[in-house]
Amino acid sequence: MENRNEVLVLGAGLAGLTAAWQASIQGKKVRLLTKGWGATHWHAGCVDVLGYWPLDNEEVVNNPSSAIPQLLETNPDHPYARVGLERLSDALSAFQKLCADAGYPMVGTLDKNWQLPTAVGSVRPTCLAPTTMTAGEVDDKGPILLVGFKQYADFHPHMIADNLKGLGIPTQHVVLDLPAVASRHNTTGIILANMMEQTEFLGDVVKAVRPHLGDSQRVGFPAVLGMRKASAVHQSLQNQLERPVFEIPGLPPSVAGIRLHYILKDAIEKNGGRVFEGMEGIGCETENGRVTAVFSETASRNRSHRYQQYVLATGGILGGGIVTDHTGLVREVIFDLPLDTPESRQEWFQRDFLDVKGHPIYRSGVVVNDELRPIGDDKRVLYENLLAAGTTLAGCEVIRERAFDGVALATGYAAGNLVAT
Amino acid sequence: MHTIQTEVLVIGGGATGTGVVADLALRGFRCALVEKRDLTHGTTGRYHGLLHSGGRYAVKDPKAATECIEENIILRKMFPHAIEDTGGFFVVTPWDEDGFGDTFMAGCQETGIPCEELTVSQMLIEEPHLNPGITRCFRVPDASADSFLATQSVAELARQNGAQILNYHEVEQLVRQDNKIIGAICRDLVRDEEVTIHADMVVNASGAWAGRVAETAGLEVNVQAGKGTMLAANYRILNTVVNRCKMPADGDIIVPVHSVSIIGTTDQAVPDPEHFAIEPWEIQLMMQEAEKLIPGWKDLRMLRCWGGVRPLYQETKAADTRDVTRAYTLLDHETRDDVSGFITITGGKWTTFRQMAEVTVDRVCEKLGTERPCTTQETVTPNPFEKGHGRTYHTLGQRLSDTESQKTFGQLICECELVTRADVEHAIADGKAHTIDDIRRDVRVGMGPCQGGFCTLRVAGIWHDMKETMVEETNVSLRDFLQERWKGLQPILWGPQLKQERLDELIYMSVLNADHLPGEKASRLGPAMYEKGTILHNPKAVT
Amino acid sequence: MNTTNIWEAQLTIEDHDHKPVELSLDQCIKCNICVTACPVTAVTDLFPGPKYEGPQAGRFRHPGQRTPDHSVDYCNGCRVCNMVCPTGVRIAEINGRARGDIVQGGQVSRQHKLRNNLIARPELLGKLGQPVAPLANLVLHSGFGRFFAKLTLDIAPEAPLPRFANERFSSWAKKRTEKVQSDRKVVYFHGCSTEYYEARVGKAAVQVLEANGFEVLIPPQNCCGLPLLSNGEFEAAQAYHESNISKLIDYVKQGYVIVGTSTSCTLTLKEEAPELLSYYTEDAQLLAANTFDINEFLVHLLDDGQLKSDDLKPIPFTLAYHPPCQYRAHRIGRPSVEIMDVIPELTIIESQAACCGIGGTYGYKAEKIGISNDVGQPLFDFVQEINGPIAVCDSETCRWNIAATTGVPFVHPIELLAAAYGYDVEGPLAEVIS
Repeated sequence: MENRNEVLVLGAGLAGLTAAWQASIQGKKVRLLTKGWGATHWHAGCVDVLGYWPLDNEEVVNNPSSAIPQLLETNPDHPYARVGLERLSDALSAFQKLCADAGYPMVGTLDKNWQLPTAVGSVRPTCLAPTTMTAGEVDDKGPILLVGFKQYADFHPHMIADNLKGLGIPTQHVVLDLPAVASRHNTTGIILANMMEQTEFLGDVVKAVRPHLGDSQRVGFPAVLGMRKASAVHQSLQNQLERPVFEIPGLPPSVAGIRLHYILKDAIEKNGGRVFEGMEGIGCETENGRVTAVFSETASRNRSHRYQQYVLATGGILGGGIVTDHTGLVREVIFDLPLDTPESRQEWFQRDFLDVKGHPIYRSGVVVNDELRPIGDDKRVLYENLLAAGTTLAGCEVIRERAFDGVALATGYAAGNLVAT
Repeated sequence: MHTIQTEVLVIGGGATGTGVVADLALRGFRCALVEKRDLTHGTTGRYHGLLHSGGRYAVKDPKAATECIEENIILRKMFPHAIEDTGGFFVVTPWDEDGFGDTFMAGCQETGIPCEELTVSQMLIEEPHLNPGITRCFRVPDASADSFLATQSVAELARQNGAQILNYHEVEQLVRQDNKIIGAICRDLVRDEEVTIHADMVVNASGAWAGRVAETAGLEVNVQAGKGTMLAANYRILNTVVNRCKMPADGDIIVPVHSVSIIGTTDQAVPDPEHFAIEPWEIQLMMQEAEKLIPGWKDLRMLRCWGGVRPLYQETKAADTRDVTRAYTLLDHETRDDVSGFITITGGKWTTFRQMAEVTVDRVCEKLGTERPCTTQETVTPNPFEKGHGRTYHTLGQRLSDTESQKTFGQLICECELVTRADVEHAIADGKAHTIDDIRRDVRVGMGPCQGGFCTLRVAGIWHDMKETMVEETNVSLRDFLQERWKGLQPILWGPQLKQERLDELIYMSVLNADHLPGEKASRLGPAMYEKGTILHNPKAVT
Repeated sequence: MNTTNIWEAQLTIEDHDHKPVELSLDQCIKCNICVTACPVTAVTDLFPGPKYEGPQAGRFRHPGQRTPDHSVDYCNGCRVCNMVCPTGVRIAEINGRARGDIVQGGQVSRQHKLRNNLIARPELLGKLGQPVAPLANLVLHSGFGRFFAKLTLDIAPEAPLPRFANERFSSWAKKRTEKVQSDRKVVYFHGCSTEYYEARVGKAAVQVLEANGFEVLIPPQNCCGLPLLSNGEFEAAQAYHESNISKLIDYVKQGYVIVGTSTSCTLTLKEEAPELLSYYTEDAQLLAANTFDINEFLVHLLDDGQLKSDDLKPIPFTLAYHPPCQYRAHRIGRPSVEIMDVIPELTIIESQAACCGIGGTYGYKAEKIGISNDVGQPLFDFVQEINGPIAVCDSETCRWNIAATTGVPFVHPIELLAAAYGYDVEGPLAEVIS
C-alpha cells in the first residue's frame, strides 16, 4: 500500500519549521506535529550563528565565517561540522530570501556579526537581524533616545541607557505614560505590539516621543513594534520621527521571534504542508532498522502516525526532546536514542550559574552522521529513515556559543533537503 | 570608621537575636542589633517553617513539648499575619510502628497538647494526596510560619521602641577590656568600613556562629553545627503539616508554607556553619521519605533545596552554667569564664525564640541591676509591609485575592509569587534592602517556579531607577541574585526545573547577555555557595 | 495502539496517568507562550491570561479555602493555551476545575446560577421546545422573548439561538427502512444539536458511514453534559455522564466504537468528563478509549487506504473552514481538513483565528457577549473576506455563532463528504449545490 504520508517532522522550533518548510517546497507531503510552540517564541528573533569563541576566553566573534573553522577544529562533533559551512551559508540565504519575500527582511552576512543592544544594555553579537533592529548597532556611536512604557515592566530604559553610555554612546531615555496603556490592567509585549499596529496609537507614541528627541540620531524601543505588520509599523515610526528606529529584544514572549514563526508556518502551509499543534510525540514503533510509526498522545488514547521519513526536532532539555528525572536519568523521549551526556549526575553542573563554558548536562544530545541520521556507539545508522536536527543534537553549547538559531536553521535546512532527495 | 554607644548590643539577626533586641527595647533599654548579612540570613531563614505544637517532642522530650505548646499559643497572637493556621497531622504509615500512636496520644495528654484522632477516610478527605495506606492519624495545632516575615515584624517592633537594627554589620572582634566585654568592632559590609559599638552588656545570639563570636574574645563556646537539608516542592500538595508518628528522624515532616511544600530534614554535624555541602544522599533520602507520605511525590517538581545549621550546644566545662535545658542554653560568661558584660544564648528552636529572648533579657536585667518585667507575651507586632497590625492568620489565597480585587495583574513583577511593582518599590524605598536578595526575603520575589527568571531583570530595572547607583552596581546585583537563586538549585535540578533553568540561561545569556555587562562578576554581598556534594550514600544507613 | 482495525473496540485499557490536572502546573516554565495565543486576554482586561489563571493562580488555590479569584470565570475554554504550551500544562482544565470550585462554593449569584443551569441543558430545552418548534422558534427569536430572557436571566439578547427542527433526528433514524447491514458496526452519537436542531448533520454522518460499509447503530443516549461542566455544575454533569455510560457501554463491550459529529460531545466522553470530575471507573475509561470524532475516524480509514474516495462528485467551491476549539483538546490535529482534501475541486481555506468566541454557552451570557464578539471578530472578518456561499465548521455552537454574525450559512464537513458521495443534501448546502 502506498503511504500517502511522506515526511513527518516532530517539533516546531526553528529547526522543525525549517525542515518542514524545506521539505515541503521540494514537493514532499509534510506533516509537522508539535506539542506546542517553542524556541522562536523565547529567543530574540535574530539568527545567532556564533557569538563567542573560544568560550573560556569569552572572546566576541566578529566574523562567524572565519571563526567557525576554528570552532570545528577543536569541536569536530559540532553540528556545524555535520552540515558544513557551505550549507550553513545556503540555509541563511534561503531564510533571508523567505523573510524578504514576506516583507520582513533579515539582514546581515556570515562575515560580520551585528553588535546590538540588549534589554539590560549589554551587547549581543548576532549574524542576521531584522531591519527593525539593526539601527541599534553599537559600533555606530550616534546618540540614542530610548523609549519605554511605564506600564511595561520588561523594559527599563534607564538601566539600558546607563550601560550604553559606558560604550561611548550618548544615550537619553524617556518612559512614556500614555493613557491608552495606563487604562489597561494588563500590559504584555503582545498587547503593545497589537496596539502599535493601530495608526492612532502609533500617532500618540510619536507625539509623546517627539519632545524628547533632542540631538538623538536614532530611537530605540522594546521589540514590540507590531506583529505581522512590523515592517510597516517600523517604517512609519522612522518616517514620523525622521530618524532611524530600532527594537531591542527582551524577556519572552519574543514578539520578534513570533514573526519568524509565522513566516515559516505560512511557508509550510502555502506549500501544502500542515502544522498540527498540541500533539505530543511519546513513542515509536520500529522494524528492521526503520521507524514504522510514531505515537502521539491524544485525549483518551494514543495515535499512530505512519510516514516514510521522520525528522526529530523536538529540542534538547529546554525544548523537551530530552527529559531528566531525579534518579539522574537522561532520555530522548520519542525514539529513546542513545545520548551523548555526562556519565553521572555528579557531573551535570558547574559552580556558577553564568559559567563561561556552560553546564555539561545541557550539552546532552543525539549523535548523528553527516546525513544527520542518529548513530550508535559503533557509528552505524540506527534507523535509515530518521534524521535529527536542532538543539536535540550533541556536540554544542548553543547558549554559551550564541549559536542557538544558527544550529537550528542550518541543521533544519539540511534535514529538510535530505529527506526530500 | 565611626562609633556607636548603646546599653546592650545583640549579635545575630535571627529569630533569637531579633527577639532579644525587641524584648530589650520594650523593657526600655537602649539597644542595637548587628547581623552580618540580612536578618534571617542564617538558620532562621533556612528552616522548614514549622510552628511546633510540641507534638514532635511529646514522647521524646516532654519539657520541650510543653515549651512549644505554650509558645505556640503566644506566637499565634504575636504575629498572626506571619502564620498560617494549617493544623498538623501525625500519621502512622506502613513503615512506622503501629503502637506508637497510643504512646503519642498519651504524650500529648501529659504535655497539654490538644490532640484528636481522626479516621483515615476523614484524613483523606482533608488531604487526598496522603498515602491511603496510612493506618492512624492524629490532629494537633501545628501551623506553618513565615520566618522572614515574623522576624521582620519583631524587628519592626524593636525599631518602633527605639532599637537600632544594623544589618550587613559583621562582628570582627569583641572588645575585651581586662575581664569585661565592652563592645564589638564590626565591619559595615555595604560601606566597607569599620564600626565600633560600645555597650554595657553584649548578648551573643548568633546561634551556630556563637562559638566563633566568643572566640574573638578568647572564650570557648562549643556549638556544633547540625546541618538539616530541606527540599521545597513547587506545589502545595498538602495544606496541613504532616509528621510521621514515630520518634523524630530524617525526612519525617512535610510543611506547607506559602505556595510550596517543604520536606525536611536531615541532621548531620558539619564542622563549619558557613561551608558545607548538600549531599546527594540527603536529596535522595528526602525524596524517598516524602514518597512514603505522598505517593507520587517523586514526580512533583522540586523547586529548591537548602541547608540550615542547628546550633547544638555541648558544654565543655562542668557545672558552671545555669538555665541549661535540652531546648536551649544560656551561658553567663561572668560565672562561667570570669568575663563580665557578656552572655551567650544558643540552641533552641524557632518556636521557642520568644521564651529564649525573655530568659536572656531577664538575665540582662539582673546583670545590670534593674528589674523590668517582660511584656512580649502580650504584645502584637506590627506588619512591616502593610499598614496596621495583623489580626488574622495568613491564608494561601490572600495574595491572589488581593491581586484580583485590586486588579494588579499588569503590575506583577514576580508573577510566580504575585509580587507587585508597589511591593518591590516599597521594599527598595524603605532603604533596608542592600541586595535584590534582601527584597526577596521581604516580599518573596524570585521564590516561585522560575526562580528569578523573569523578575530579576524587572527588579534590577526598578532598583536602578530608584537607587540611581552606578550602573555597574546594578549589573552586579543582578548577577548576584541570579547566582543566589542558582545556589539552592543544583542539587534538585532535574525534570521541569532543569528545563526552567535552561530557559533562564537563554534569557540572561543569549537574549540579554547579562554575563557580559560591565562590572564585577560577583560582589562581596553575593551568596556564599554550598560546597559540592559528593557523598552518594547515607553514612548513617545500616547496610 | 492501533494495530487492529480502527472500528474494533479496544477492550484493554491503556495505562494512562489520571493525576489531577492541577499537578500539570508543575510543568510551567513561565515562558508566556500561552499568553501570546490567548484570544480572550487579547480583547479584555477582565481576563489576565492563561498563565496567570492556570499555573500561576493554581498555586494559590486549595480545596477547603474559598476560591479567591473570579477572573478565571472569563476563560472561555477555547484551549489555545493548551495547544501552544510547549510543556504540557493543562491550563484550560485547571481553569475549568477552578470555576467548578467557585460554583460549588456558592460564589455565583442566584440569577446567574439559574441561567447557567438553563442554557447548559440543551437536552431539556430541546425536549421542551422541539415538539412545539414553530411556536418556540417564534418566541425565542422575537424581540420580546429576548428582552424577557435578558431581564429575568441575564441572557444576552443578541445571542445566536438555533432553530428547533421539525423532526428529531432519532425519529428519522427509526423510520428509515433501507439500512445497511454489516458485520462492521459503529455506534453513532448524535448529541443534542443533531437531535433537536440539525438532523441533517446526523443524516449525512449515517450516509457517509454506510457508504464506507458500516452498519450504523443509534441507541438511546442523552446530553453529554459538557455545557454543565463548562458552567462548573459538576454534579449535574456527572449524572448525565453516568447515564450515557450505562446506555453505551454494552455496545463497546460487544466490540463497537462510538463515532460522533459533535466535537464537543465526543471530547466530553473521551476526556472532559472523566478528567474534570475525576471519574475513572473502568466503564468510563473503556467508553473514552473507544469514542471517536467522525473525521478522526475517517482519517484512520484514509491512512489505511480504506476510505471510499473514488468517483467522488466535485464540489467546485472555495470555502472558509474554521477548525473548532475542541479539536485542540482532542489532540488529533485537524482531521476534517484531511478529509475535505479528498473531495475533488473543493478548496478549503483554513482560518488562522483562535476562536469564534462563543465558548459553548459563554457568549450567551449578557456579561460576556461583548468579549465573545471581540474574540470572534478576526474570524468573522475572515469568513466574510473568503465570501463563499457557505462556510464550514465541525462544532454546532460555533456554526450558529459565526453564521448569525456574518450571515454566511455554515455546514459540517461531513455534509460535504456526503454530498461528494452523491447523497441528497439538505439545508444551506442543498441551496448551493443545486
